[in-house]
Amino acid sequence: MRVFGATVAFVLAVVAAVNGLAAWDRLAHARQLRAAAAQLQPGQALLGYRDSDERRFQQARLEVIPRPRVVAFGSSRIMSVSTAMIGIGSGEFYNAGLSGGTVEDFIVLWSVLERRGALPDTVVLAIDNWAFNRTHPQLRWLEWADEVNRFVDADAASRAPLAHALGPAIYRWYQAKELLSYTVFKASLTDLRRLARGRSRRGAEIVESLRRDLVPESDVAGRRALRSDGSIIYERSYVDHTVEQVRDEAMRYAASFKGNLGNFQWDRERAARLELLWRDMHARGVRVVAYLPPYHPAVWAALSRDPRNVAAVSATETFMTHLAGRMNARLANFTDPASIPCAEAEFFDGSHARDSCVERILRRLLG
Amino acid sequence: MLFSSLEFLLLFMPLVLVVALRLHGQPLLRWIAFSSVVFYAFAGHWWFIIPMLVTTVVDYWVAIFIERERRPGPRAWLLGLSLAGNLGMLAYFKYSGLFVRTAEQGLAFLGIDVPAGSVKWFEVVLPAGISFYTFQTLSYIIDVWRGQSPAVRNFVQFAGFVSFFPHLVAGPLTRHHQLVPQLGRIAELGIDPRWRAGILLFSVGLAKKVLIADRLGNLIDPLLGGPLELDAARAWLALLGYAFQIYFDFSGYSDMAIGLGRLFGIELPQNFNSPYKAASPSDFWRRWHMTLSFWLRDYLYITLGGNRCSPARRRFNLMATMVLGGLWHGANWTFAAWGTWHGALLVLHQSLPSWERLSGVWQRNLTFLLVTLGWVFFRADSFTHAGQWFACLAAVHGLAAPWTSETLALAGLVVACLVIVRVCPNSLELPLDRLGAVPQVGLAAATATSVLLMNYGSKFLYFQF
Repeated sequence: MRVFGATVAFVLAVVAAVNGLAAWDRLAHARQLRAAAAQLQPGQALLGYRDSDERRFQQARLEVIPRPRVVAFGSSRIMSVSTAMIGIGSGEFYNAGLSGGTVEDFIVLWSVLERRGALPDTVVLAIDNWAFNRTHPQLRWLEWADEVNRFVDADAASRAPLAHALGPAIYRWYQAKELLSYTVFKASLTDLRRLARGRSRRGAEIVESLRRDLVPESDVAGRRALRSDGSIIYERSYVDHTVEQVRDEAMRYAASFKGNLGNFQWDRERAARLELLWRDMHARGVRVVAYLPPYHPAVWAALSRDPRNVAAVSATETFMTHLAGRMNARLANFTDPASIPCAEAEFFDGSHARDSCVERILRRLLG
Repeated sequence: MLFSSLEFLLLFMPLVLVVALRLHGQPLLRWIAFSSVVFYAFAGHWWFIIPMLVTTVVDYWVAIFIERERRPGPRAWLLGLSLAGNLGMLAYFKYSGLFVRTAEQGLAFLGIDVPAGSVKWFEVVLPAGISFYTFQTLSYIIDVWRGQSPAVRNFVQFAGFVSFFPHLVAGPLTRHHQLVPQLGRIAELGIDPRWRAGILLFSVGLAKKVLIADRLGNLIDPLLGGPLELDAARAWLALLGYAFQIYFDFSGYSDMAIGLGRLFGIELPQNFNSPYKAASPSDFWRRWHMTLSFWLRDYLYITLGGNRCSPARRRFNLMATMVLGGLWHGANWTFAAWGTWHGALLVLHQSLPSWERLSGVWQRNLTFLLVTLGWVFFRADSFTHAGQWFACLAAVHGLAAPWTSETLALAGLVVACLVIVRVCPNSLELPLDRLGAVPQVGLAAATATSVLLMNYGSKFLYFQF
C-alpha cells in the first residue's frame, strides 16, 4: 500500500510542480503582455496582425481596455465591425472577433470581462452556421480548453447551495485544480521545453509587435492592421479583388469546402456551451443581439441546391431562434445574402462581407 | 458531485472520513446521513434532496404502521400508499415526458392537433439516482408487508440506508437487509475502514471509468452523432466500443462505490461478475447489474408467478419483467425494445435445448454477440437511429472505408477490452489484499493518470437512469 500511495503522490507532485512552474512563468509573461497591450491607444493601429497569436492578444486587450459599452464576439467574419459602424463614441466599442473564433473562444473572452467587472451593456454575437457542425472541427480554442471547462464547471457550481457566498473561493479552487490537469501539463511541458531551448515565450511576438509596429491609423497605407477597438483593416491586395475574382474564389470555396457545412452533424456540446454563455450574459442583464452572417450570393446559391445544407442551416436557425426566444434576445438569420440584401460586389470572398454589407447588417440588427 | 472529481477526492471524502473516524453511535449515523445529503445536493440541483427526503420520511413511517397493523385491509392500503407514492414520483419525474410525447404522437396519428408547448410543464429534470433509491425503499416496504423483515425503528439509520452516498446515485441497488445491519454495527463499534481493499478497488474503478470508458466514449460519440452512414467496419467497432464503454463505465462506478463502502467498513453487494464471460442470456443476467436483476426477479418476476406456472405464462412473466426492466433504464421506447430483445433472448434460450449442446466457447461467443447487438437499442436515440445503425452493421454503406487514426485507436482499444473482459478476472476477484510492489506501481500510475484526466471526465452513463 505504501508503494501505491508513494507512487501516486510522486506522479501528482511532479505534475503539479511542472504546472506550477509554468503557470508562474505564464503569469509573469501575461503581465508583460498586458502592459504592452495597453499601449495600443485610440487613433493607432497595429500592423502585421496576421502573424500574431490572436487569442492571447485579445485576452490581453480585454484585460486593459476601459469598460466597453458594446462588445462583438465572432469569427473573422465579424472582425471588420468598427466603432464607426456601430455609431458610438471612441472607446465604447470593442471587437473581440478572432480568426476561427467560436463559442468556446467567446466564453473565455467573456470571462475576462466578467472577472474584471467590466461587462458591456450590449453584446453582438455572430454565430457561423458551421459552428455547430461536428465534422468541421474548430480546434484553435483548445489552447484554452481548461478555461472553458472552468466556466462550465463554475456554472454548474453556481447552482449549488452557498455558491454565491463562495464565489471567489470556487474560482480559486478551479484555478488550483489546473495544477492537476493533463492538458495544462502538456502545455506546460511544451512551454518549458521552448524556454529550455532558448526560444521565446508564446505571445512574445505580440509584445515585440506592439513595441515595433504601432502606427497612427492614417499611416496604415493599404497594409493589414488592427485598430485599437479590435476591428481589422484589410490589406489593399485583398480589398482590391474584382467581382469576378471574388466570384471565382467563392465558387472554389463552395466546391471544396461546401461552406463548411458538408456532412453536417449537430454538435450538442457546443450548442450547450452557447446556451450556457448566453444564459450567463442574460442573467447579468447584458443585452444580446445575434446573427448568422451571410455567404457570398454565389456560394449560397450553390449550397442551397443541396437539401442537406438547407437542413443544416435550418437546424442552426431553429436552435438559435429557440435560444434567442428564451433569452428574450434579438436574432437575425442573414445566411442568405438576399435577406439583407447584399450583392456580389459587397464581398471580399466566399464568406466575408465588405463594410457596406456589414453596415446594413448592423443597421438591421441594432437599429 | 462525481466520484471522479477532485472535489470529491480531495475535499469531500477526506473530510467525511476524518470526522466519521472520530464518531460513534447516533452521531456517526447522523454524520453519514448528513454528508450523504450534502453529496446529493451537489449531484445536480440542490432540490434533488426534496423527493429523496419525502421518500425517506414517508416510507419510514409507512413501514412502522404496516408492522403495527394486523388487519390485512389497512396493511394493503398502507402498502398501496407507499407504492403509489414511490411509483408516482418515478412516473412524474421520469416518465411523464414519455407519456406526453406518446400521447401527442397518438393524437397526431388520429388527426387531432395538439398545440405545441401546451404540455410543457411535464418537462422536468430527472433527479439523479431516483430510480435506485425508489427501488430500494420499495423492496424494504414490500418485505415489511410480507413479514419477511422488521421495520427499522431508528430514523437516522433508515435515512443512512436510503442515502448512503457511495451507492445513492447509481447503485449497487442495495437492499435493507444488506445495509441496515451494517449501519447498526458501525454505529455500535465505530467504523473499521478496510483501507487497502477500499482504496485499491476504488482506484481500479476510477481507471476503468477514466482510462477506458471515457476514452471509448470520445472515439465512439463522433461516429454515432447525426444520421448514420457508417461502413460496416466502423459500425461494428462503434457497437463493440459501446458494449465495452457501458460495461467499464458502470462496473467502474460500482467498483468505486464498493471501494468507498469499504472505507466505512461496509460491504456493498457485487454488481458485476464478468458478464461478457456469460455462457447464455440467463447467465448474462446473473452477472450484469446483478443487484437490479435480483431485484426484478424477487419483486416482479416472482410476484407475477415466476416459474411456477404454465410455460406460456412463464414466458409472459419473463417478457414483462424484461420490458419493465428495460424501461427502468430510461424514458424512451428504445429502452423497452432493449428489454424486449433480452426477454426474447431469455425465452429463446429456455426453449432451445440445443443451446446446451454447443461448446462452452460458442455459448460465450454467441451470448456476447447477441447481448452486444442489443446495445444498439440502448444507445440509439430513436428507432430510426437504431434502424440506421443496423443497416450500417449489415454493410448497407459498404464494408470498410479507409481507416483514420481515430478508427485505429478505437480498434486497438476494442481489442484490448475484449482481452480484458474475456481473460482477466473481474475487479472483485483481484487479490488486492496481497498485491505485489510492481502491480501496485502499475495501478498507482493508472490512478495518477486518471486523476490528471478527470477534468475532462464525462458523467457516468448510469446517472441518467
